[in-house]
Amino acid sequence: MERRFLKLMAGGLLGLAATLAVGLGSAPAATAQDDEPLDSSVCAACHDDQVAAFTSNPHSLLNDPDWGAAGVEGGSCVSCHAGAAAHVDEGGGEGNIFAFGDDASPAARSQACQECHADTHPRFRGSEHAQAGVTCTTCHQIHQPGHSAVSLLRSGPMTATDPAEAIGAASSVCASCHGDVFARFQWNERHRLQEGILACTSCHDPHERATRARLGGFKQDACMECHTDKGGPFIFEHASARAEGCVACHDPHGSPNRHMLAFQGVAELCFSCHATVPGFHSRFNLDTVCTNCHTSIHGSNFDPFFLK
Amino acid sequence: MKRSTTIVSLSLLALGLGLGLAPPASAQDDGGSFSGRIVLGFRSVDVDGADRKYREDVNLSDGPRLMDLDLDLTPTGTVRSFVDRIQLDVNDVGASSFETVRLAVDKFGRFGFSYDRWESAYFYEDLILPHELANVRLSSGGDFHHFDFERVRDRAKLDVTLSPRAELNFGFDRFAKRGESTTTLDVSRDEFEVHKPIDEERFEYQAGFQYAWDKVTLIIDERYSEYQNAYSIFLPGFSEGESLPPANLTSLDFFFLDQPYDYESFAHTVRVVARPTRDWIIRASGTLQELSLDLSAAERSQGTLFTGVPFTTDLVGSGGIDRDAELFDLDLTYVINDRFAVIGGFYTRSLDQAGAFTFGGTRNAGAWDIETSGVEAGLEVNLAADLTVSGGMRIESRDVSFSTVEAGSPLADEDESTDHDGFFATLAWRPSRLYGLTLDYETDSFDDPFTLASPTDRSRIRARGQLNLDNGVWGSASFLLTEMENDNSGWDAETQQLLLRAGYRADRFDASLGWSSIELDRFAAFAVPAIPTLPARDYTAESDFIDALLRYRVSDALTLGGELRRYENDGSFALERDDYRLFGEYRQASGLLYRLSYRTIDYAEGAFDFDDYDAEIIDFGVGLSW
Repeated sequence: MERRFLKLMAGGLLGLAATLAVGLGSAPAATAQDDEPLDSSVCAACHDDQVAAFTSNPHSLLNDPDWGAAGVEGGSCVSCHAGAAAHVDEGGGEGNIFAFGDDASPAARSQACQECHADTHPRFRGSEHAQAGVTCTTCHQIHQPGHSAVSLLRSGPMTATDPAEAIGAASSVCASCHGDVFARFQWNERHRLQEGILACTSCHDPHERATRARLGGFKQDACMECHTDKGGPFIFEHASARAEGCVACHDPHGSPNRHMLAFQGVAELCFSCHATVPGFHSRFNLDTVCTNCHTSIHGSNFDPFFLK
Repeated sequence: MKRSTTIVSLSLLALGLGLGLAPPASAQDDGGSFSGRIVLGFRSVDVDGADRKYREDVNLSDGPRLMDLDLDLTPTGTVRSFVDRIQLDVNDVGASSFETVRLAVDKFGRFGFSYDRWESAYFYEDLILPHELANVRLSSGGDFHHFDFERVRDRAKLDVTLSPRAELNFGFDRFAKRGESTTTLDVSRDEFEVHKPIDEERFEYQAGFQYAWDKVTLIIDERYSEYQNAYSIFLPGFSEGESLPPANLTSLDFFFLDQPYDYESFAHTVRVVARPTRDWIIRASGTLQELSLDLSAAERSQGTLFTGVPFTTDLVGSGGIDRDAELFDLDLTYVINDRFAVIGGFYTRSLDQAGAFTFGGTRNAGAWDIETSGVEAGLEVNLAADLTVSGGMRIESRDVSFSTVEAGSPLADEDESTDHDGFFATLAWRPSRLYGLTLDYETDSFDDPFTLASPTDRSRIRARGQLNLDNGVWGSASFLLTEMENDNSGWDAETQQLLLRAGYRADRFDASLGWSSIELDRFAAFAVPAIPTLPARDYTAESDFIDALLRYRVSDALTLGGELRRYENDGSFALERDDYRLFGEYRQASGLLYRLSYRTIDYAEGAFDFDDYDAEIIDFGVGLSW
């Protein structure tokens, strides 16, 4: 294992050196923090709607002098929109102000938010979302109150027509890109996302790296928040569940099969791992429901074969 | 009674606020606003066929309910000095299987409070084969595990900002699960269906502190949780079991097993986020978890063994399990400039668990030790404003050792090590907010996988495209291919998914049509020596989902629409489900509104018809919005 780490470190250092050689030749990004302070009332002369909307928005704090003293300088608008002074001097227009538009790279757009929010989401740049060019403003809207006062989530396309299927705001935003995953919640065996009693963010953190690295370090930790009894600990653990996690047997988004199992038949699933079984199992076949005898299949305190 | 009181109280409160306080327009001149909606209604449900399958699948029930209550208040004047915004969102309280409540109160920069409640019902009573085809000897007589319970989760959070640099936060999380279930018990070569009441509850209390210096932020988080499970199974009276005499003489006169357990757990986390310069973000985090579980058990039973010999048991026992876990992470992000960022991370996790349980004088024990270490490193390059390329690699090593002792004798003592190398790359092309394309690819290789159905190789390729034109036309398409295989055992699994969606959105009109096809294949052909006749495990599911939505705002007062969801699965287990809905809402100028919807569901399984059902669901609601 140590040799593997050494190899990776050597490769990483070489890559880093090459990156630095290329990257340091480029000019560093200008940020709004470099700008002179500008009272937002100046901006309101033209952008009165946006400035007014900030009254029910946590970013209105940026106008608070107490917060300005803590490092957020320049008032609410200039904190995010670099080049505001030039924009004012030139009487408005595009191209002279950082407006989170298509001309700015995704990294630059997210970096503007990270100036203040890096403490909250320090690993965002390593997330699959950032890798795919998704920025903070893809999911969050800054100038409108949004679904939620604090997280300022955008509205997604999956608006509910029946409160019984009230997809929460967070999941609705996710569905606007992850329609393929949302389709899996249409299966008859599924987590109840459509009914609104859990959200994508119940298990996933969109600001973090891939799920497998996030689920609390041990793969089933997120599942145990609701399925606590399945997590034990037990004297006799189902080894695959302990080592490989719940997804060794279950499809968490949804499945055509009972209990969201990976196979329709319980025996099909069990025999896809268990090639060694006692001889008296010779009478069984793929219609057998193994859990009729191995009833405590997630773990047992009595029996190593989960019979009780 | 309690629920009715809640509905009435919430409704009266909302009506009072709505009628008495609502301004003529939602936005007031001084920046405050108060908008809301309340809808009270009744649902009628008519199920023809397998009611148990309907409850498992849909589970919407008859009766009156508070369909919708939304309040959104931005106060003005002196109240604004204390609160910036209050939001209340209540869905489907009353005769419903799924209820949600959310309350959020915020004073930006001072405090933020939120309370969430989720309440849901779970029902499962499934048959796999018709009774005439069931075979007790093959244990194929059905799935005797039935569930009928409720889950309730309450979660509250309070964040208090002491200063722009310092914040305190507190959390409370309660999860309870209560209801009925049945399970099976294997006694002397026979199966018995026994009751297993569900009664469990978990509490978690959290307190945290965060302080930000100019370049470093320190976060401390403490959590304490406790969990109780009143686990018991019982058979109150005589049963001959599933196998009947004379083939099998086993019977039970009664059987009681109580094995309640509880645990308490502490988690201590320290996290440091440093930004020595604007270009660097360094995050270091360490968490220590301790868990201590106490277990006791008592069993009383009486019956006859398969040989015809009577037996009784009267056993007691006790034991415990201790678990320690440690999680350490170090993450680096170096933003060189607008174009380049380097991301790296190192993590270790360890789990150390040991427990022993003595029951009826017999000692069982189990111990686990899992050590995992991993490194990830990647590079993100913004080649242009519209083109991002990122890629990297990861390696992980996991050492698992476990041992078990049954009845005082060692049963298993194993060590397994799995090494994992992976590579990932993503290309994102987003020339404008109107359209974009994302391609990503991952591949992983595992040495010495833990099970025969754990992959030695895994790959995933995914492509996504999106289009959002200014004229309201939008579309999206995606393709996913995931392949996993175990070279050692011959197990493999493949998933292919294609999604196409298109729609049109205008001021008064919203329409969409989507089709998704998912094909799952899982195959394991290796022999099971004890069952020479066992065929290969060859599973296929080919599912097609079609959904369509049409919503038309005929006038400012009237909205009409319809929805279609069709699901068809072929392969190892064929089934079809057609779900149609028509809905309308009429809103008077005074704010009074009327809502009506009609939904019909037709569920049919391919092999047998004993699980088929048809359901008609009618919802009628009257409300007020302002």
